[in-house]
Amino acid sequence: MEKKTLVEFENRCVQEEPPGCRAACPLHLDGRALCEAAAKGRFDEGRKIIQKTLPLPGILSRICDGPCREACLRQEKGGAVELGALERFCADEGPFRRPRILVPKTGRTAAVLGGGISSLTAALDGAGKGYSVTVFRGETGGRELLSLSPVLTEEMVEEELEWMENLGVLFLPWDASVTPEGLAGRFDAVYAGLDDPLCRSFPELMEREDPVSLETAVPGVFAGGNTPSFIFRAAAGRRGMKSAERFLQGASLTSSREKEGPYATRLFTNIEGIEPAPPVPVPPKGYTRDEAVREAGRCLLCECMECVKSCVFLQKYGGYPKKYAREIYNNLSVIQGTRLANGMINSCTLCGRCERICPGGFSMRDLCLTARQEMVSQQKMPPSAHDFALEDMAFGNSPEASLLRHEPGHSRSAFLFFPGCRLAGISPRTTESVYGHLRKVLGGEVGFWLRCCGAPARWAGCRKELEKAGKEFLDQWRSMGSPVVIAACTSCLEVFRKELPEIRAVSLWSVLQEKGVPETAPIRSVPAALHDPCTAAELPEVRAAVRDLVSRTKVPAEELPLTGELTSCCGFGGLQECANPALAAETAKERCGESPSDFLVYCAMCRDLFARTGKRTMHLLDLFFPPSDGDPGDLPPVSWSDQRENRAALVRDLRKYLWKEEEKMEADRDALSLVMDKGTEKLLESRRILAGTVRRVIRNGEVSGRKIARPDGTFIAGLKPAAVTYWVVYRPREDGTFEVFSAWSHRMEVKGREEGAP
Amino acid sequence: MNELIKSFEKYGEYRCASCGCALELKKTDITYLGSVFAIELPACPSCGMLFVPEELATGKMLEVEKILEDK
Ligand code: SF4
Ligand code: SF4
Ligand code: SF4
Ligand SMILES: [Zn+2]
Repeated sequence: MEKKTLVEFENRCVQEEPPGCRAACPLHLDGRALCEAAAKGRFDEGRKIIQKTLPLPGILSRICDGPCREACLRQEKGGAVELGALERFCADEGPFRRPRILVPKTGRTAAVLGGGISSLTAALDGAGKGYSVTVFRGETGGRELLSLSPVLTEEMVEEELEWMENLGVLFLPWDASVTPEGLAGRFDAVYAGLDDPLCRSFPELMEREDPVSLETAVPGVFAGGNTPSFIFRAAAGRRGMKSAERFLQGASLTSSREKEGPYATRLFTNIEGIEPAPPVPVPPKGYTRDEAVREAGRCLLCECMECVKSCVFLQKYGGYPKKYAREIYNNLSVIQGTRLANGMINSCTLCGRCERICPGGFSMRDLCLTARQEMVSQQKMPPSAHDFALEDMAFGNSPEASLLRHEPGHSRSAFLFFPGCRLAGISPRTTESVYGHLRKVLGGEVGFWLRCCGAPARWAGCRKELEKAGKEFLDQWRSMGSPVVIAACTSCLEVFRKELPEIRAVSLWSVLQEKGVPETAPIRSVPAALHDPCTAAELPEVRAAVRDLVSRTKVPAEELPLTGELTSCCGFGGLQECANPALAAETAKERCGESPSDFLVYCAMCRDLFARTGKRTMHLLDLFFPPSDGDPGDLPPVSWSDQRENRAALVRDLRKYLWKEEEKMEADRDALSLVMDKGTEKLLESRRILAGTVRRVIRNGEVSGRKIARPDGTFIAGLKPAAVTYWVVYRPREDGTFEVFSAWSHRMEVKGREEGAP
Repeated sequence: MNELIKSFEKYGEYRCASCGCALELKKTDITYLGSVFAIELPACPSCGMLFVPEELATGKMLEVEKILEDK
């Protein structure tokens, strides 16, 4: 990934932007961090935050007029947070313990005119930059500070002035010989604080004051701070000394200074649903400890995190998209070493919800998909991440599991019903029923097309495979006369729309909406929550058709809080279930927890993933084409093995009974029949070892005789059909079946074994 | 990876079905993504038929596979 791409992604996420209070503070005090500490009673931490930002913390923290309030998001919910009063309590509660930082002297000299806040800030900053600073001030010797506010005491002022002297700032009395021009001749740079009336007596300082650089008519002399606001006076001093620094470096006095003073933050914070709460009133003596804690607790700790709040995947990795973008970028740049973000990149469901939620449109989907494509093309994709799904895709396109036919008795197709691998595998029964129904309502020329749409390759980032499959796909489609494809699955539709725009495709749901559904007796009238598959989020017409169809059933449907274009993935999308099954289970569980009602879905994969968590879930097709016995909500989930066998069986059945192709069909090679208990079945499913693979391993052991005999009469046989080696423990039974006890696999290759041949 | 197959006694009772020999530990190379490891696996002393025990495949071997995949 190019750096430029990273920056484009990063810029869309505003999570790292400052909260309103901090952006609006002329000195950018971190009000959010201060409140976070204060709400926990950690006022020492609060003081550290203050002294890091504020010059003269013992004074400013007590008298700041708080312009941040205007930008505080709490304003709309009871009133802005009293940050000023909180700072004051921090200062009253204990001493500032400023670390003494030794700054190397630069040899430069700076003069500061005046004894007000603005001048003293400039002097402090000048000392911080390593200048030898001399302050020329009136006779009162700092007493003018005392008059700023009744809350200040002599000690407080004394402490700050002493601190400055300790830093090496020299204080000299102001006499008649002091003029800006004269100082400019003797010092490298000059700042004059216009909050001191003495400074305002020089017309040359009041003239031509540039608001950005604070440059005056006298070159090298800067002046500012002529404002009633104490904090703005300080900010002017800081700005003036920065200008002095640029002046001494010969740098531009005005470029990139937009964020020096108050600015509007880009941070987005959702304040919907936040209960209003009024500020804790500030007594004349300031807050008590308890009051300060309570007031700090009103802070909303502004941040965005909108996308993270609703995505199990984004929560999993403890950050937010901007941070993830950097991690992914680093991951892709690793030449030698561990690629820490591999797991993350492959765990996104690519549902796109974050992009629709994010105020800046950050797309984790695009980021992860780009990263996957890059990893695949650099041959850095962990083979275990998507092998299973890609192999399933190959199976779906093999003669055993695919079928392309004109309607029996027809030699051309106006339509092609495309059920997709999932519906065909999970519910071959409804697949057949829907096909029959479509032939009826569309009046003939409805062909049938079973194969994989290419979604697994797309999600895995395998562009090459996808393009190859896409070409084959188009060839097959054209060979049928380019009919309208009726897709049952929105994931297939997404692939058509994004990768094969030539294909004329419509959703099964739109067709059913228009052409009607079979009249069926109502199965049930219990309410169910309607879940949109993530790939329907960008298909509003499909969602509308589904809602219309649902209204024709007797099932009262509820909408989930996040629905339609903000719907969530079930955990299958983006191959999350393949690369990170544990996270996919969490994704499904989280979604199911959003309503106690049964779920009503219109994607076979959603049905299965939800049913696996134990949620009662019905497929909409099961309401129109109900199972002969029982409630569709009680149908069990279908294992990966069974999905494959179902597809193969569907193809065999359709060819035999619908297309009467019996004579052409090859003998069933997989006749070997297996017996295993539920526990073993579950173990194999979780290890993604398919029944078909187990059969091949056993056949290999039995035919070649190469197997290991265990003392209990069972055998171990092995086989490496492609990249993975499988081992199966089994026992041949007298009735010719094989009892299976366990199976396992590994990717490491044992050298010098010829396991390949069956 | 060698200390893995400690509890090896039990495989001593396993036999090669074609030769009838009891299995013995045999030094074998295993490889993944370009890395090679030497390991002892239960094998037939006569024909070399061997197998990778379940606890090895689903334990240490899987861990090493994951580490190598993230390299
Ligand atoms: S929604 Fe997410 S990606 Fe967008 S700005 Fe907020 S945290 Fe960043
Ligand atoms: S609510 Fe808190 S973080 Fe947000 S702007 Fe106000 S003080 Fe700052
Ligand atoms: S799973 Fe969906 S919402 Fe979450 S990051 Fe990926 S695309 Fe965004
Ligand atoms: Zn042998």
